[in-house]
Amino acid sequence: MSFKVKDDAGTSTVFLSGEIDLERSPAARKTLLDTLARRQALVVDLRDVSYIDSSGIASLVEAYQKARTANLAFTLAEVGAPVMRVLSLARLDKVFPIRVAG
Amino acid sequence: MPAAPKSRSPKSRAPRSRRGEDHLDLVAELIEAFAGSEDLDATLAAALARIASALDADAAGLFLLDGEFPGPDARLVCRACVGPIDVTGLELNAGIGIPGRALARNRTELVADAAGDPDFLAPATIGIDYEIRSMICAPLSHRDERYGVVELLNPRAEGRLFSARDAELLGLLATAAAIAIRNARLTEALLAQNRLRRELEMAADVQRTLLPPAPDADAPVQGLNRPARGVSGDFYDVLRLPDGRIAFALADVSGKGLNAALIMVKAATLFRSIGKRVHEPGLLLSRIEVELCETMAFGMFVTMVVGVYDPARHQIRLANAGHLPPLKRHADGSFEEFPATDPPLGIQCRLENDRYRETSFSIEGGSLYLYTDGASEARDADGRMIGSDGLQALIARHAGAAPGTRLTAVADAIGAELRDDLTLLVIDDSEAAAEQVQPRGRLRGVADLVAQTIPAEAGQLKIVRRLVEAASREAGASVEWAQDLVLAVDEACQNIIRHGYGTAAKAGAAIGDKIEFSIRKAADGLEVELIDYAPKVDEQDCKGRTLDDVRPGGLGTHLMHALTDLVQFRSPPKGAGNRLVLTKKLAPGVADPSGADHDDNDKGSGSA
Repeated sequence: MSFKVKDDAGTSTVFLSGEIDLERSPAARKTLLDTLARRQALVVDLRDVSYIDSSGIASLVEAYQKARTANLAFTLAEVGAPVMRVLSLARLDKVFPIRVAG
Repeated sequence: MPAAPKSRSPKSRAPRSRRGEDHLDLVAELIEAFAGSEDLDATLAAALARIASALDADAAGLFLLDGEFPGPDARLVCRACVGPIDVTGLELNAGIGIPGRALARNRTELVADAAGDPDFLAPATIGIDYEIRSMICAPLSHRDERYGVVELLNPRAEGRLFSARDAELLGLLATAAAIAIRNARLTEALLAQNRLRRELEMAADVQRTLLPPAPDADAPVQGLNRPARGVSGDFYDVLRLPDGRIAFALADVSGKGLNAALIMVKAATLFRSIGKRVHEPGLLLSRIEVELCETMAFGMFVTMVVGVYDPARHQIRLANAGHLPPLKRHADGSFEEFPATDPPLGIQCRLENDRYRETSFSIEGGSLYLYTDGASEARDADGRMIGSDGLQALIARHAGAAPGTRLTAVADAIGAELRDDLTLLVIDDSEAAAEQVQPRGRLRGVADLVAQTIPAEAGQLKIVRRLVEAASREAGASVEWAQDLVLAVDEACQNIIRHGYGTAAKAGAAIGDKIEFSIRKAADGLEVELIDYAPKVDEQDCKGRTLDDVRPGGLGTHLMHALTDLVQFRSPPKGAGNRLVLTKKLAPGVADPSGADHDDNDKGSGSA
């Protein structure tokens, strides 16, 4: 299963969804890295993510590091409580630019 | 053939002219008769009469050898005769007299004047009132194989003696008869062999219909039968009882071949018919014995295990009549044997209600193997019997496969060169034990031990998460508390999959890579236990790293420690690699508040 990607002028948005676990994080990672190859600012929309584990977090971290190296903006958007819980446990809530879900 | 003298005595000349051209027509006629013969005895008798008539003999006899020649027991038995005295059935010592000499020398003996031959024994010495003046005795032989002799006595013409020409002719006819006898015997042996083979094939067909049809490879009760020859003295059967329990049997009839196969057919039929009514293994065995004892030949017996498996309660109840001990493999990989407590069926022939002793035990998450000596007495590469230990090793090696696949793999490993019938039966409780943990299953009280074995692969993790969540909610935990434990257990499983077994995230688990997963209620919370068969983990790797290190393994381990109260490696069961126990406290009436305010680092060292 792939993830939805939306391209606007200057910004690409990846909509991750469902459970980003060991089984599905490779697909999430590939989508994130492929989208970064468009060399636009990346927004990762997490509103439909019900669960994320360390492998999902690792995919986000890798994409974030690639974006920074390429001088591209990277933002996590619409972060719900379950994802925020894991980000904070990993102390990544202070690392990622985060736009909390309204 | 004795060389025929060229000179002819004047005495033999006169009758010959009357008998025609060397009797070539007779030779041809008899050879043809032998070739087309369907009843050899009748053909031989008719031929003897024709020969006697053609050579103008007063009497003639055809004797067949009985017993090994040469030897003290070798007898010549008269099968056909012509002449004034019927000696059919007469037995002569095959080592003496003129017939004995013809046999020993394997050539035609012409005794023109019997009275002058030192080997001659007069019929009067065996009580037969007949005087022999002249005789010819030819062996019925093909190369060195002797079948008997044919003899001609006393030319009818007054004063005539048998000639060398007569002897030559008899020798020729005897050779033709011998070939006919040989062919008839070969044909008879071949027919008997074919008949036996057909009978064995039919018996094997009947036997195969008695074995239950093969179920799916993952059905909990599976059997396998590989006969060493066409028919088998082994059998197994599986009966599904109306209440969901499963009755099973495995037996080995003493002896081999058709007799054993017939008894096996009877025992199998008895199990299937009585087993439908009687569900108590000990009573079922004694009922079967009563029936078997009525007809079984003395000295035959049947070793048999009968049992009933209750998948809902994970219980097995069995009775063992003198059979090899069933082998139980516990969920932790250790083995246990259940030796027979009673003799085989057919030894004591007890009374109908004198039941065999029973054993009951839990099989939870484990499996039970029944086997015949074709398995335990199979030889390894060094020619040693593999025994129960060897069988255990084979079972352990294939433990990760579905029950049916596992049996086939074990049988293949035992070898293609079967000396004995090989029969295996497995009752596997791992599926039934796993079903029990499904949320809609028996998960009413988490105090129960719940356990499931899962293949070590990423696709299984969502199942683990559902189970942990359901168990947490049943235990009264809040949604957030449950989510924390779910993530902690998920991370622990990931570590086993990725770092323990080293399975690539997308690749399926290798056969046998599995995680035995259980949740139980601890004094003040929940305990989740994960047992794997991967190499032993260096605990130092699992203490959690600094958060700067966001390598997956490090982050996962950190999360495990942060989300639970105790992460503990305990000593694994025999055969397993690691046993990890996660404990999370459940304060009475107090749900863990949601939010991001855990004091992560303190939890890592384990505060319980």
